[in-house]
Amino acid sequence: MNILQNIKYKADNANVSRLRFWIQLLTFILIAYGGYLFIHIGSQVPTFACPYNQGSPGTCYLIAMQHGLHLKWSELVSYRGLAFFTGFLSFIGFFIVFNKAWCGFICPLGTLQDWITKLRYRIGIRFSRYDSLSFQKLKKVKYVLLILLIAIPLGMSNSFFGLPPINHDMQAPFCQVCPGRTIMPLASADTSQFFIDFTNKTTLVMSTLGMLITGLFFVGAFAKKRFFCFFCPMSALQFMFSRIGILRLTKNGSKCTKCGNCYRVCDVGILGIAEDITSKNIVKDDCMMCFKCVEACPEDDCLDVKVFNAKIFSSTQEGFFKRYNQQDKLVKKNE
Amino acid sequence: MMLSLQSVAQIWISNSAPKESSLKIAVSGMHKISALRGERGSAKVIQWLRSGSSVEESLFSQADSSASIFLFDPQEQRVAVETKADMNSSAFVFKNTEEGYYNLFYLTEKVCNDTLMVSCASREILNHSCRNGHAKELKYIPYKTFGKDIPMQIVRERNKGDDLHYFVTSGERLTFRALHDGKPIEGVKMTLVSQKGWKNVSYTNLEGVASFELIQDYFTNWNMFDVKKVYNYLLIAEKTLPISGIRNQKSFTQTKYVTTYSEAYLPAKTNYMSLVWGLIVFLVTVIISFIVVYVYRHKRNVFKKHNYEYTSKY
Repeated sequence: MNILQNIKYKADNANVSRLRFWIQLLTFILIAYGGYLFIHIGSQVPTFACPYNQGSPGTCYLIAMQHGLHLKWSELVSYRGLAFFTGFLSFIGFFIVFNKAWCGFICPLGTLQDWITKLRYRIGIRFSRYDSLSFQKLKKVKYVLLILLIAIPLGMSNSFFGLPPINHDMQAPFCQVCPGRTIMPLASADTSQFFIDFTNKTTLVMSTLGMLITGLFFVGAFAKKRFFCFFCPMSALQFMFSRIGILRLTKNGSKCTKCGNCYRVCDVGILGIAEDITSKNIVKDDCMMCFKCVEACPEDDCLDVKVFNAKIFSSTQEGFFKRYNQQDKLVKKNE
Repeated sequence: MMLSLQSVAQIWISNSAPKESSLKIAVSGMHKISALRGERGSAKVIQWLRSGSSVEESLFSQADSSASIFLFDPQEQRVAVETKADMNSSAFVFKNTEEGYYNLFYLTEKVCNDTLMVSCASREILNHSCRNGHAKELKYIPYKTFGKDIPMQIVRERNKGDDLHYFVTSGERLTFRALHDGKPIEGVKMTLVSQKGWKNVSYTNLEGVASFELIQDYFTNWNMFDVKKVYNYLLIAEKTLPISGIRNQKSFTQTKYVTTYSEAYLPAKTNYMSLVWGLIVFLVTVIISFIVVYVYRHKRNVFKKHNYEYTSKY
């Protein structure tokens, strides 16, 4: 066995969830406090690096995109438009490297939800799942939000169907209702984003919605794993480019026995990952590339994590049982 | 000559003492009025003369010997005012024994070229202490006009609830009326300057009225927020009228009136009430959604239909 094969063998048997926990912890510290350490990672970050948090080392691309789209049609084809498109390319550049693993490993809001899930598990309260009908209906919400966060800034500078431009108080509309705006500053002990803006009716409605969604975020994340990710427009935006990401999650349908393990461990509850035996690329729009499915798959090479078609982590029977026994011991210890 | 005109034009009355004032000053009471400390008898209010259009940067000035100083008590009676020197500047000192608004005016007239410059600095100083006792429902206090003595006066229209406890706050709409010889005058240029230097210009209408929204310019971290942070705004009203005549053996063909009005203001209540409401909405959402999730799960019982006892009843 050469060195590369040895590394691959160890990776296949590794507890990736544990590794993911530490990566999430480190990236949370980086994204919540990196600014205090003079780290700057730009304003096209494909994750919730919320600039409302003083310690943030970068800016979530959703806010940059909303500001960048506040353009007249004529300006979209000018230098201002060019600035928007170069920003967009930077976002894609960031995204290509990690693909949707930004959600599973780096997103601080995702990490917070995982910690809330751990808390619920410790307390001993069961979690909820959506039934398949609700799942199919609710997954469309993030696309509606994505369309709105693109259309509203454009509608502030332009007239749609002869209607008057949208009120400027609606600028960066998603940020006004995003729980990241209210929650991430808490990492810097800043509670100033918990407010209702009484300036006018628009700000009153938007800020009230923001507080409602923040409340729902905590309760939702407690009752259901990765509750907010299901409605996240960043996830929808990322999915549009997931095919060009160098990090891939593939499935060999011929090896799948439809045991359903992958579905059971999936935090988002994607049924397609278990049922789909025809697609090779199984990164769905709700997938956050946490690779729990690969860990839970007992079939050799049924699920693979690849970088440029080179397998870096594969499902194996040996790895499955090793992790299963570890988990079993942990559960018994907790009992 | 222009410099001279400018310095005459923007004289105003300030409640803030020079940083290195030689006098013992106490800023206290509900309306944060500066008063001389350590003097026996009833408190003496002190106000300073300043020159410039910036609330924070204006220089403290000396009173002109030819200037007229008027002080009217709440009963509209003229009362004595003493001029005191303080660090190369002049301060006006008076006793405020009556409850209500005292009106202080500093008036100068000078002929420059062919223009009579009439400069008037004014300030309303509210005297009230709850310790003296008062009715539960406070009375609305109307503004007073002094057209007989003050050629161009600026008055602030009273807002809703403008009583003895009233304090202007950021975010309010302030309406001012310009009066020439006691009558409303149209086309007066009014410039409102906030503590931090934000400016807005408006012109009076036929009724002599111009209004402004006093914008928020106090920003600080939430944990440092001072609900009683007192800032001052400055209103400068200017109007040139074709009034000719002779003053001090100099003739003039027009008269330029420049009147200033200054007042203190506090941060808007919404600054902190918005945070309180935000927290309330958040907590109510958390509590209600927790109850909804709990009740939904409790009633749903996914295993019920497979329960023998349950199915045996039907």
